[in-house]
Amino acid sequence: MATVKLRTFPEPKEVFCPHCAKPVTLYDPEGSEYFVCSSCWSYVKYTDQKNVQTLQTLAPLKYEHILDPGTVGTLKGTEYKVLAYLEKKESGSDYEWREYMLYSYTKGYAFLAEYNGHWSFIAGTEHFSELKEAKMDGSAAVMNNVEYLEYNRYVPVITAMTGEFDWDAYEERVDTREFINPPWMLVREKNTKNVKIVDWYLGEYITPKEIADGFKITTEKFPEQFEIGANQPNPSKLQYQQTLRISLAAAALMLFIQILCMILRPSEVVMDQAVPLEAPPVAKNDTARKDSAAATNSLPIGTYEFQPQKTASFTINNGPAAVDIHLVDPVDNDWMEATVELVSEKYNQTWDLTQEIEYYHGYDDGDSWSEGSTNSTITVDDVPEGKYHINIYPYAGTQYPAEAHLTVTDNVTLWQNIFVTLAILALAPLAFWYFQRRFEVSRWMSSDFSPYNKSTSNDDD
Amino acid sequence: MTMIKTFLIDLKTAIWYGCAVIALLVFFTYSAFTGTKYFPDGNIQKNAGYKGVVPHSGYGVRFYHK
Repeated sequence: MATVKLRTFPEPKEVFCPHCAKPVTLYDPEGSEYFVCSSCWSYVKYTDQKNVQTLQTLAPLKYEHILDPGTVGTLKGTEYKVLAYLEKKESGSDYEWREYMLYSYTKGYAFLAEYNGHWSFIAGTEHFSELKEAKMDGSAAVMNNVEYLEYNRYVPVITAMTGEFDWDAYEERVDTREFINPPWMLVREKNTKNVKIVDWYLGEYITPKEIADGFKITTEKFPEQFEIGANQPNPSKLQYQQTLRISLAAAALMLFIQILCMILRPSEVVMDQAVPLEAPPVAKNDTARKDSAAATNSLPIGTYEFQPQKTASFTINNGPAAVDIHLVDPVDNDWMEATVELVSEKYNQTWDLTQEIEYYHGYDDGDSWSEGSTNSTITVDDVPEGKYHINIYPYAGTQYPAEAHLTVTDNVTLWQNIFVTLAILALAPLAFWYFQRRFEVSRWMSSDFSPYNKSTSNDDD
Repeated sequence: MTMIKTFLIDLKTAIWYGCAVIALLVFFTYSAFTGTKYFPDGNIQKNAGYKGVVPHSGYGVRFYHK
């Protein structure tokens, strides 16, 4: 067992390789039972100076490593000394990664694992006591009511290593399952020789800069990052959550402002008047009312014009205000249009607009149909308070409409503004949701257990 | 304080997005209390110099005083 509960690191001790007789420094001589000679790559079992036995010769290291055994540094507030460096691969595949075994004189072992330039700080219950609560829940793992989704399962094999160990690291075989909830990763290791031995480890994503700062080295020799790390934090996830919270709060505030506006500036019908649709005066030589198009030679055929009307005066309060001009005419398979002129009696200003009403209905192949409606509303915005009247110039498809109805309402709610504001508030959360989802889909493309690909088998062991 | 900490999970995003949202709310409030549409109706023409009801309207009465 690694020596723990000390006040400082143990005194290093030099031993000699039984194969090549070169000196090897042990940094935890009391706790370590195995070491690798970095000169001849002999894997040696070491009990004490008199009991040293070469077990086998390992392959030399394949990759350059950034931390040599004996290097001291501080990570997450704890002082560590590097005891070993291991190169591993998945049994039956070409996936390779690297691990640095760290030793704390208070907490024991921890690991720095690197794959594709992405690093995780991984440790057991001595570092993370909450690991005692870790358990399987279906195909996922749960710890402290937080779910971790299965990302990978494999049997790790050591291809090369150097340093010292308190167990037979090279011969150990474990079935490993990794569960992620970035930046965290739960690792479940089940011993293949004794399936009752199940160990849980917790890993946290760590940046090369944190490691470099902790061990006072530069990041120049760190492996280049590519693809997405299994437990790499999603950079857009926090942005998505933050913008969503702000947008929801802003939407609530916006509705509050709108309600306040409706209370302080209540909407009121300021004019409600019937508009008679009367034929214009007939010329002396005409004997009957006729299509005014023929008379003026300017109207399309089938267009009947009625006399212009001027409504009674009305007052718009609490201006400037948005004003609804609502025109109703019970046309039946017909149309009616009117040029409406809102006239400010105070400023001699006008707002000119055209309102169109058309309503058609009938039967076609036994089915009834209808289109259009018998009313039209147009909102005039930014109208100053004061006295107003309306001039209306109506015309229709037939001469039959007898009467239209005109209503003016002030301080109406501008739904367009509300919907546009809500749409703008939704933009950033939607964009960041898309980015964070794209990131997650890319992350899970490296996994056989992607929640974004439901056809993947999630069989339990 | 706890509520603020719970709300603010990404300070950098909160600052830039919060400023943008505040500007939007100010604009919304101004529009709500002045009855101003974000996108005014292009078919409504505002004219100065009212000259009274046109006696004979005609189909082309729209914007007759231009």
